[in-house]
Amino acid sequence: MESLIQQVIYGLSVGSIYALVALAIVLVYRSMDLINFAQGEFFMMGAFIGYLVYTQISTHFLVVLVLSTVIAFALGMLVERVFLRPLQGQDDILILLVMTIALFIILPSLALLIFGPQAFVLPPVEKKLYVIGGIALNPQYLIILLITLVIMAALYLMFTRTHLGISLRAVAENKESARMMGLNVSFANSLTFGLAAALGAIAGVTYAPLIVITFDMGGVIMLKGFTAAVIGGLEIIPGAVLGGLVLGLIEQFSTLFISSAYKDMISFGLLLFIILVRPNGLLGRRKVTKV
Amino acid sequence: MSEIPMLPRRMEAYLLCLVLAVLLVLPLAIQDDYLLHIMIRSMIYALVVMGLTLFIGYTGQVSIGHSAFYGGAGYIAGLMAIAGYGLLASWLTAVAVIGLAGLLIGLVVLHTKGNYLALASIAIAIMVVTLVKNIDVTGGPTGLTGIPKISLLGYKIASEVQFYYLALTSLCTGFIVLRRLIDSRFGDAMLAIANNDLAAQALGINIYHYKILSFSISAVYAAAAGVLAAYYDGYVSPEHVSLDLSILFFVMAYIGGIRSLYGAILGAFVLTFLSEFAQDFGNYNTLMYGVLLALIVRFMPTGIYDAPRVAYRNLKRWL
Repeated sequence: MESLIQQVIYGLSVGSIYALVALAIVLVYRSMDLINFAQGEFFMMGAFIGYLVYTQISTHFLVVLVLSTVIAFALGMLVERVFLRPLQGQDDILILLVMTIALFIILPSLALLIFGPQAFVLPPVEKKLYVIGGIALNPQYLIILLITLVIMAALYLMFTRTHLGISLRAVAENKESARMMGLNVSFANSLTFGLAAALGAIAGVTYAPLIVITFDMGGVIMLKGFTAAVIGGLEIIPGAVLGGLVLGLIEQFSTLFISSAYKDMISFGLLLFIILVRPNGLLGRRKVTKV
Repeated sequence: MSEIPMLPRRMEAYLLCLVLAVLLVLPLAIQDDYLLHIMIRSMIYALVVMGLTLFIGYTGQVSIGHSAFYGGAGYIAGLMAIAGYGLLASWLTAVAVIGLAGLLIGLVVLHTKGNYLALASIAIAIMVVTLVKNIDVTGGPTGLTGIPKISLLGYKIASEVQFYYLALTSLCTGFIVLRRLIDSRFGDAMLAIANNDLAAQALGINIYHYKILSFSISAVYAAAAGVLAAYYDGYVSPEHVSLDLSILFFVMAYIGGIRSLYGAILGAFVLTFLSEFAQDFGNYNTLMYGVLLALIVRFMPTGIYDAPRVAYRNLKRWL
């Protein structure tokens, strides 16, 4: 029983990392109609920024988290400005996707050049295990859960209560009318990308102590995030959260029963299965395209 | 979004004959095994990239998992060759199995709108890599070694020159078949899908069927190339199914010109030569692919094959 609760907490907490990545994918997909291949690389970038902040500036966890999130936000906006903005107005819908694929190639190879192939370690906030009611828990998992909850709440408030969040939603809903209402669509895209990078950094910095930081860590995380997003329904924000948690739990329990070498295979098999049986996700409804 | 017009038909035919003539006499004129080696490698890759161009450029979908087909076919052919089967048997089996796999994957993934396949293809490629590394039949991380040389109708293909002609024959056959396909109603239907799938659907084109068909064809091309590569290298390793290789194919297709078969061949040759000569730079190689892709997408979305026309147009405007 104790170990069951422990497994559930571990699953939920890794799942909430997937949820953060999925959330970023969904935000970009809704507002730009684009699957962002570079999302996993934002995660990798965030983890490396966190490592740099930790070694160069401050070892306090909150400072590391906030500073790397802010830096990643700025970098995300910069990436949109430099790589994607110039492509606006091209009638080829594939071209944005291909550009994010270029980023998916460029960012890790840049990281490889800068940091080399070795693995880096970001130490956890608290080294000793917590024992609550006979259950031993690594506090990092609890921190992940807590931070994810706070971020989700903040995002919810932003998208429902603030002018900025509502404008972003308007842009996602309909670009033309948003533009006619005087909203700056290009700036909204920039902000969305910044937000996506910031979410990637939060996920990267909080998850890094449980794994190691390497230049090629982004690809798999991107696929996990995408799987989570597809489970929930690619356009639905709460769906991304649900999908992430479900994926985290499934992975945690499948490693108990099946070899961990095949852990990723189970997630990706799940991705194909969901695409086959419920292409619009668990929460999605069937969409009819009108001309 | 349409196929790039470049030369009048007759001119194109003359140019093709010229290029073919040069390619035919090349091994006789230049006895350089290293150059032949790069040429063979380019031609094998060109086969994959042509299939990819058909799928991406003519159906408007993205796949970054084609090394799974390429390497998968290599493994199948390698296993059969080691077991003593001839080229024809192993080639046919590998191509049939991979074609069927492509069909199945297409059936699952392509019925969704939007570009799910782009990510699903990576997921599949990673699954194949994990499988290949972890099961015994494929030789684990080291792969299959000791694949015998080809003997075709009692004739041994062992030297670089002989393999060069085999690869050239395959490339030409592959090109002619695809070219005929693209010029047919099939090609028109696919271009219509790439331009506007809703309009195509309204015209009575079954987009789902066409997408699956073109995906399967591209899988078959990757498989055919994979078999050649397995025989040529004499071994198959997880590198043959790696994501890096898939990315390389994708970049080749885009850099050459995603809307043209000539572009596909050009992209394969240019990048193969480039990466051969850039080998000393080691880690910069992948970065170079990415930056090239970004530059092409930004400044010349129709690829380097179209560069002379774009340059001419700009020059005319400027003068």
